[in-house]
Amino acid sequence: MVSLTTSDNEQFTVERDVAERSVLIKQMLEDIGDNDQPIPLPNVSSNVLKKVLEYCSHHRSDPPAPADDAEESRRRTTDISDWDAKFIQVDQEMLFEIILAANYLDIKPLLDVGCKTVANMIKGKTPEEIRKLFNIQNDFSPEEEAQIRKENEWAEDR
Amino acid sequence: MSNLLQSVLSSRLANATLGGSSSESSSESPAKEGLNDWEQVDTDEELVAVQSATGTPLERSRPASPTRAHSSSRLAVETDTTDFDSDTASSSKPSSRLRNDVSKKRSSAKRSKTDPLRAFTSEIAQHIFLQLPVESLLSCSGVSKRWRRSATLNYCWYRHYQHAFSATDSSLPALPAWGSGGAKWTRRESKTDWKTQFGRQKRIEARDAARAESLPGSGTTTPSRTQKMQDAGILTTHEARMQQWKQEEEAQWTKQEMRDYYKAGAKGGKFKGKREKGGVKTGAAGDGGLWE
Repeated sequence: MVSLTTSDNEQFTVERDVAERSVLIKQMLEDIGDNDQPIPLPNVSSNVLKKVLEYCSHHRSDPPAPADDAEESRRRTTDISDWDAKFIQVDQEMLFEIILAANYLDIKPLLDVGCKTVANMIKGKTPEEIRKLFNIQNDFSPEEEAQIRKENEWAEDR
Repeated sequence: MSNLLQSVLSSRLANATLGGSSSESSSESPAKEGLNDWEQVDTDEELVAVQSATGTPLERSRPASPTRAHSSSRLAVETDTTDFDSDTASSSKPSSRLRNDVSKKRSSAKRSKTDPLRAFTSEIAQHIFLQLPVESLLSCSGVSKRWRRSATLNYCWYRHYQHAFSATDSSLPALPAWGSGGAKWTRRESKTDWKTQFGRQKRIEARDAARAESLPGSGTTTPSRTQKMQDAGILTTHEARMQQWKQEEEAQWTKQEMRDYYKAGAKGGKFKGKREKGGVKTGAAGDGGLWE
């Protein structure tokens, strides 16, 4: 068993193969050897880690990802499995937190799922819809907006 | 240059301390290095782009001490960038409208957790935006000023450009894009507006297609092949060269950038060898005047 301590000082105890879905934790465990000390995760809060560990335990017996370049594996994982799709159905703040945690903990498949989900949110939306989605302010002047429309004209008649 | 070096070093350090880097496996390191290369350029580029947007010439407005922004870990670079943005913007052009913008930006975006281009490192942002098709990238460029000048999105455009217009077919000669073999993200690439390049290329394609329709089998010696290439979105060597020259003409280089570029090129080694071979044979045609 492995103990993990979150940024808000909560302790999680999980089985080693679950924790080792995270390359970061796996390397830490290799570094410290047989030691019952909890691993501190100062960049992850308990509610996010709970979610991440849920993912890890579901995928605990997945074969290790092929060690070729990230580009390749990214292209192959374009589809999100049903379980993953359901898992990632969280509010946007949690989604972003999960992505950041997956990046920090080095859990590539989870990072892929998260990024893919954000990309899907953007796909097919107008600039205004994207602004609304991410709560971004439109800081263009009307002239600038006209300019952008003109720049993008080539894409319209297709 | 030393800034760049420093920032690369510090980001390495940050990686190492986070424990995320796998420095033991030497087979992986070249790819990692390439990533770091444009990643750093990316961050820097955000700053440079801000400057040119305010209307000051690039040479004069180079940040006086970017060391501050790069001195600590990568995490700090990311957060610092926002501050740095508004600082330089307000100091270089004190127009009231801009000031308003800046203060507004400051309050709303100081710690935006909802904007993916702010909440994430450029690495993650690329992961997200590289999955988008051209249509979505067009929408993205119309979201906000930051999105419009985002180096991350520019990189996505570059990748789409490479994919759509570069000859990757082995039966055709590879693009003689100078210096970097055409597919590497260098400082030069980071200076180019790839969305505009992409649009220009699309327009050329459309025009050529229309012309080919109205004048069937005219002019060219091998119309079928040319047509085939056009259909596949592949440039002829001539077109590629013309376009490359045009780009080079448009790109403005400061002394410092030139120095950096050559330094980077010499380090790579590849650059030198290729240049000597190809350059002489083609009568130095690919040199684009930079070797005068």
